Amino acid sequence: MKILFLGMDSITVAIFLLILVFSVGIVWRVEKELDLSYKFFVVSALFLTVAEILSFYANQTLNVVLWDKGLRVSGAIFLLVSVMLMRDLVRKLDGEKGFTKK
Amino acid sequence: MRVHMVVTGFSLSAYFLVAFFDPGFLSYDLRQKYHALADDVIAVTATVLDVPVKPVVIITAQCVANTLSLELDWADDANTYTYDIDRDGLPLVTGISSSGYSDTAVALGTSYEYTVTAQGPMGPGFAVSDPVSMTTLSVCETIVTPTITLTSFDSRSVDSYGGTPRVFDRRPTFAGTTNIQNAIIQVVVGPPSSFLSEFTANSNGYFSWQPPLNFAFGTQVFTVTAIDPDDSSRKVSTSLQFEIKKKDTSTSGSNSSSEKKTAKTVIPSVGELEVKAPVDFSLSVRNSEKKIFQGEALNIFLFIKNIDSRYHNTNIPVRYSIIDSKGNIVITLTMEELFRRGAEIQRQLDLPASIASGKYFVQTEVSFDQMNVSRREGFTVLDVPLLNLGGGAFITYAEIVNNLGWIVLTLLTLLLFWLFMFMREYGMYLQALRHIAERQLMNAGFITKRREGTK
Repeated sequence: MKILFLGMDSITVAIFLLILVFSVGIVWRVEKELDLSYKFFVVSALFLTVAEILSFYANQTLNVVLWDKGLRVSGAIFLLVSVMLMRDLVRKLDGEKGFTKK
Repeated sequence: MRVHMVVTGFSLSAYFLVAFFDPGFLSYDLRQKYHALADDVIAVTATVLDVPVKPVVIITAQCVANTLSLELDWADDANTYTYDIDRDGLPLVTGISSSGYSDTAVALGTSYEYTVTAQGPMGPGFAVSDPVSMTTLSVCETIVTPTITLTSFDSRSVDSYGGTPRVFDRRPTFAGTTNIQNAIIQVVVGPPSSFLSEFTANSNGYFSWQPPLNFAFGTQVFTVTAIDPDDSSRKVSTSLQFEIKKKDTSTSGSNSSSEKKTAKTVIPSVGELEVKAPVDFSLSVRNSEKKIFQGEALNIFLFIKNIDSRYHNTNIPVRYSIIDSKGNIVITLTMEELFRRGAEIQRQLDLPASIASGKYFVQTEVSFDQMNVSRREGFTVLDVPLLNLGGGAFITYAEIVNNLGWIVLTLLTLLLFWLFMFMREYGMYLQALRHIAERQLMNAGFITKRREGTK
């Protein structure tokens, strides 16, 4: 069971690291609002990765827990901002009222 | 002494001086000495025992004369001195010489797993049986009479001594078993000096005890009592008379006078020894589930139940010791404590971070003039966990250190792979930039179709 848990946790962290790499690749390629959206996405992925790694630490003192939860909350907020920016961009591209391209 | 050294020195000098001028003399002389030795016929008969044979254990469940038991049996082995039996991972009995055992400390319809370790001249661990499980009978009209047996003394079966055991070791280990699970074990040893100790047997009823200090020389009586923790009136005792021998009894002077002293001591017969301790106290470990991580503090709690009026309200030195499962003292320190009737004493012993994980005992001793009163309590030291995988699964420092090579190699490989992916992504970005730039240049007419064709 221990090996299974370790394997699953390792896969989670590895996937997070790959998300980081591919997101940074997108940030390099795109510009303007999509670029901004992915920048937030990268920051969100980074925070969530660090929070995930911190959660493995066995000696969960108050400071460690505070950092872990703080990073998770920040990651969630940045992810929301990223999705909102992407949503605005898509609505603008669709030519929705109030989101027309200038 | 000086004359002797001068004569020896002179003789050797003369011998080597002759040898220097006449090497033939030296070789002749040495050859003569060699032949003188070689010509002597010395017959030595030695029996070299082989490694013990792995016991193949057969268990039968039975109920005979209202006694429920599991009968363990295995083949005799001339290479084995004694056998140790573990039940469900805990010692059940140690140092028995017979090739069978009747376990009566069992409950109706319960399954138990046994392993038998044969101890030979090569030491333990060479012949451990495969674990064998057996379930006791579910129906048996049992009358459980408390029993206690002293199985081994000074790492040898008690039966093998054939009379009063006589040993040189002044701190021999006593081991035995009772059919009262988690029994309170009271030990009294004496005279001339008295040892009083109280501790708990394990869930199999197994107990072992080693005196905290050296026994005096001479014949003494060891009395052990097992008390049911749920019913203090249910108890059983046994005694063993033993003798601590002096290694060198040929010398005169002080030794002979002490022998005379020992001879004058009245030795009680087995079962007669009754010693009243001037202090009665309990010892408990207050850490959660008696489990403690390496480097943490062990919380010890002493409760003084009763104390002789001579010692009431006085400071008495108390020795605290941490003892490992092999009986070695790992940590020991002495502190003066104020002993009052009904007083509660709390102490914290900091365990080093380097202490090995496993089962330990904390022992508290109070020594009076000719009496040592001690209490013992077990606890477990756990490896410090470094990573928490959830669901109670941990990865400890020790596990990481043990697999450091693989961990570093894996992490390094993953890091290189990650950097490679990062560089690849960056390369793809640069390539995309170049393509975009080329397309724009083409649209503006700076790159001709000929260039496109040559691509």
